[in-house]
Amino acid sequence: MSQDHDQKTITVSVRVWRQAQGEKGGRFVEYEVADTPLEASFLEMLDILNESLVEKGEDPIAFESDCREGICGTCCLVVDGLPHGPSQCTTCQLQMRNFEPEAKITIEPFSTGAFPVIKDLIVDRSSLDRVIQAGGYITVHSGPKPEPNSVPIEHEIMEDALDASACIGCGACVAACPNGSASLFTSAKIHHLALLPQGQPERNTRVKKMVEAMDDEGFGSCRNYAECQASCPKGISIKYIGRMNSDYIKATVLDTDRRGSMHAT
Amino acid sequence: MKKISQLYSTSVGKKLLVAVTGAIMYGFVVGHMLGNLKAFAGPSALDQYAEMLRQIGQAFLGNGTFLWIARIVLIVAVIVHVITVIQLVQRNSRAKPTRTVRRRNASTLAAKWMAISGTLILIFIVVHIAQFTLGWFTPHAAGTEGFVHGAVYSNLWGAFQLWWVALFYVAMMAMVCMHVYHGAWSMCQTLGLDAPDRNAAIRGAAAAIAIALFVGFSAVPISMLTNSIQSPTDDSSMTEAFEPDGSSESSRSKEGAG
Amino acid sequence: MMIDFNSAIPSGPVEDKWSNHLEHVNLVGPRNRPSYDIIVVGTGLAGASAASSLAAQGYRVHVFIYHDTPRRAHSIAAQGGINACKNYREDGDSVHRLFYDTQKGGDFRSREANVYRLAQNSTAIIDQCVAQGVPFAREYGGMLANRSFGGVLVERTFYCRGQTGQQLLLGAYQSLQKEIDQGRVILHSRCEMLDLVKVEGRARGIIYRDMVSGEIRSAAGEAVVLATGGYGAAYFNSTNAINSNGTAIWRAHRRGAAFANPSFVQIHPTCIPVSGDYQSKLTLMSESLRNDGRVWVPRKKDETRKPGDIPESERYYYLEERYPTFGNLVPRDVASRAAKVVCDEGYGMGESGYSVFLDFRDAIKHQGQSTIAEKYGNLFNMYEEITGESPYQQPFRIYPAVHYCMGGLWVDYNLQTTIPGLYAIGEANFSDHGANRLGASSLMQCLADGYFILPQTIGDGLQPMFRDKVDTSHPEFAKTTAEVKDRINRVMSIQGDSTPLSIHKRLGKQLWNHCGMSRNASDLKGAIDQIDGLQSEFWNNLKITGSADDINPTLERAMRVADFLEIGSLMCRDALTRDESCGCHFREEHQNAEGEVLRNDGDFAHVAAWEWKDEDTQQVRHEEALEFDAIQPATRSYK
Repeated sequence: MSQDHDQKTITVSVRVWRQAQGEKGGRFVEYEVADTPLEASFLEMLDILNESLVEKGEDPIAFESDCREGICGTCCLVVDGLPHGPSQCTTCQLQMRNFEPEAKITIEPFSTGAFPVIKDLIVDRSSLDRVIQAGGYITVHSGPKPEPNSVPIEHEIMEDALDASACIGCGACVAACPNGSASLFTSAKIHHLALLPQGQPERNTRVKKMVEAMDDEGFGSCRNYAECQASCPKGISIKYIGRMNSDYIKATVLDTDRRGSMHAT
Repeated sequence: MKKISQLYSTSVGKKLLVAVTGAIMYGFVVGHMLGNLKAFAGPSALDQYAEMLRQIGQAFLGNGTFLWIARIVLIVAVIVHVITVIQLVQRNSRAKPTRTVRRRNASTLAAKWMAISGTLILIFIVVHIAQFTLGWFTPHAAGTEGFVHGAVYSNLWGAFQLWWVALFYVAMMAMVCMHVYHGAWSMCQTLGLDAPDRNAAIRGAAAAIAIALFVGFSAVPISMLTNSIQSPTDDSSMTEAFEPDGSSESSRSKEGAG
Repeated sequence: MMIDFNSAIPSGPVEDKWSNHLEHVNLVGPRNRPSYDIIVVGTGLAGASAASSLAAQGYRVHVFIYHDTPRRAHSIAAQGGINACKNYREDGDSVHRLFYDTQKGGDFRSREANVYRLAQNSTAIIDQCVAQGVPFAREYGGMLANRSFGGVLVERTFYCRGQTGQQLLLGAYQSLQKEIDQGRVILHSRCEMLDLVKVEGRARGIIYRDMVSGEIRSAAGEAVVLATGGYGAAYFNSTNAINSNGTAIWRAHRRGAAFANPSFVQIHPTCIPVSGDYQSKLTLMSESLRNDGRVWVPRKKDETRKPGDIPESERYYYLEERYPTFGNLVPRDVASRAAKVVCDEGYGMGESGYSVFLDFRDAIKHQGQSTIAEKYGNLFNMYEEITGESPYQQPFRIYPAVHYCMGGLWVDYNLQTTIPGLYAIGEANFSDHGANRLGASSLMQCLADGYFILPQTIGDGLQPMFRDKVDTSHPEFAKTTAEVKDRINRVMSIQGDSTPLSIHKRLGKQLWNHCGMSRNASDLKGAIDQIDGLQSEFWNNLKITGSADDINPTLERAMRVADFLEIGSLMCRDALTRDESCGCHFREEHQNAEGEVLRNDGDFAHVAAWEWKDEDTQQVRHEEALEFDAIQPATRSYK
């Protein structure tokens, strides 16, 4: 055990949610991962566990990850009841040195109404894509475009747009929300595009369509718990939700176009 | 109407309706609390205030009409608020995480208790109207006068001499306090009025108003229970000011007493 | 069958080639485009931009990705920036300068016409991305901001903090999502391409595995575009994503597409060092950090003091001393090799002795912590999360790691491979970066290929195909499907003892030690033998659990490792036959007195393109001679 080595490894036991494909429910299975290097990341600990399962001839735990540097948004584990685990970062950036020796760790999928489980710890988050499909873009074709410096954009506006567009689409905001709402995700994209001059022509239709898509995909509604903000690995602020709401009001109730004149409804 | 039905078709629009109806009730509750403080000016002041409410707009609309309009607006607001919230809750229960997810403690107790406080407040509203407006349910301490339509101060006095009635009211006011604390801030967020640079101010104002509501509303039952306020029989001006007449008997307003 | 190596470079002076070509290229009319099905594999910057551009033109596009959503592609991890010769800083930039820098940076091993076209298209990329809403950093006056990258003397790099790749990919992803919504792109997510289908010599479809159900399916089209990135994950430890692999291009190679310069692999100088055997991934720290950070090691061997306690006079700023003109901003191959040299000599830091310092002490002193945080904050935080050390307080510890493949499928000027109808774009092709890629140029190449080049050249090969539809009922599809199923069954039925992961790790060690920053003939020969051994171990003693009809990460890795083993072997053979040093390819036999690369233009001024023969015959090496009209090759010097 860990005493045989120096202080550089720990032994942890993990309780992992296992759910076969096509089945409604699942169960927890407990595994011990002995001698995990303290320098290892959390997912590397799972790699070590999976390698030992394969060696024993068992089916390894299905979980997703890709870039393992916190930017692609693929990894999505609920660790000890918290989406992405105890630190405010993606699961792949979680390090084993953050855990106590002999820790018992519970690992579950990001499963909500709009994120059904596919297998074990893998969920289907394509609902987020469909929210973007509804209008999370600026309609331009490839080809010659105007000189970008012809429209100056304030430094602060750009920084704000970058704060919003830092979203990696991991879905932690949905998994953390007691209502399974995608408001933070949706509002961040709406806000990013609404801040920029290029985003103005489609601003009203965009917010209306994306808000409707959020409902169509079965996400819950925002109750302003702010759990999403606390779980977002990119620190995206709930202020964008407020701005999405006010944009939505402008687009539906006031229904003004950019010149300020009202549309007949 | 088209816009309202359009709003009603999305959850963000529904939230907007919850916020707007909440804002209407918020305004009412603040006014109600301020009106209640008239009790400290004496029994007749409170009863006169209640009568005055009936007379708003009298010149155009006739006695009590404005009050009825206000009541209808409030009743519609309550109904829309509650039904919309119920629908949102149904959506949310389908959408919520299927595994138990821990909170990161970012949300306040007030936020977590919105459903509990809201349900209790709804029950409270029914009890409160039945007790002081309609007079269907009128517990009162022995030795006090029973319920008399229009005798606002005396009705209150009779009820709040009972410790459990006073306790019920104070407890419910705590619920109101919590509900409007999160509700007021949440309303600003839903209406898109919130921003990080004014978040602290909005939260602070919401908290200050919520506490003021609790203190203001609790002051009457507590001071009546502890006899630290005038007893209705001490006040001779009460009867000479006016006799409650039949036409206004059922309209002992929520503003004044219910 | 002899491979056709006609690179189809248009005539005329280098500046006019692209415009001449566009004037003569065959086109498909707008009304006919919807009847063409185009298969695009991969949705990184190249794939997403190409798919959305083609769909917007009217083609029916079928997109295949192994991710759950197009936004996960590894382009998202590119940090530092994207080059474009806008010359906003009036510091002497021009199309020619960018062309020159890229050619020189690639050590004159890339195709002049392609590189020039890349430079010409670079400025339009910025315009396109801004129009899409990509939030490039702006100065206080509202104009676009620039920074500098390695190997150049101008500031031409546009950036979005340290997440440029993410923002560019989201721009392309959003355009792709729009096309999906409008029904012009059909997205197949969680589907991994496992083979290419050829009908009468032309690429007509792919075989893919539905990674959820395990089903083997096929798709047919008039053209297949591979935008599947590089094969750097063959080294096991690399900055690539966990799932990055070379299967799509390797399978295409085995169907007849020539593979060019496989040994040209970039080792990036600034990565978080390896800390142990369990490690799955090396994290890149953007090259942009070298704008303000200074690279050094202690002058004393086996230094035990903390970096902050080592006085200025005892610090060896080896890049600044050896390359005074470019200093810390020498190209990646030069910086990587220099780090290896000082560590090999015993000056390296850390437990393993294999890391150097990248120090922001002076930059923080001069510019203030808040300025540094605005420029690089997310990189600093990422480093701290991983290592537990704050680079605001003590220097980064870095070491080179495998990062990018300059080599890839051979393509002509139209980006078509040696198989008609099969195109390769982005990192998957070989064309623009020669023997070393400059920082912030891969994003530029991917988007140039995807937004501007492929959409205008693909019609050339499609035009004669009108109404010549083939669907998946063609016997070639059934035949290829059966071959794929056989291979999976074979892999599943070995039932031995070695896991795919363990074989992959051992392959990676061979490649890193013998086909990495420094190579020599005897090591390369040894590595080829070792890889042969691993190959036979793989096919005789592999262990896989689970079922082929389920999500099975072990099977997925096994299929990829099978191809990595073949790629690795070819990489070593390519490195062995290129008996010169150039760019990233440093053959110890060919260095000058100062230990710099010694090129042999007389014998090796060519692209090595390998042709697959069959299972039992080794690939054949062909040469495409490189012509230098605009710039004559010179010895690279960054001193």
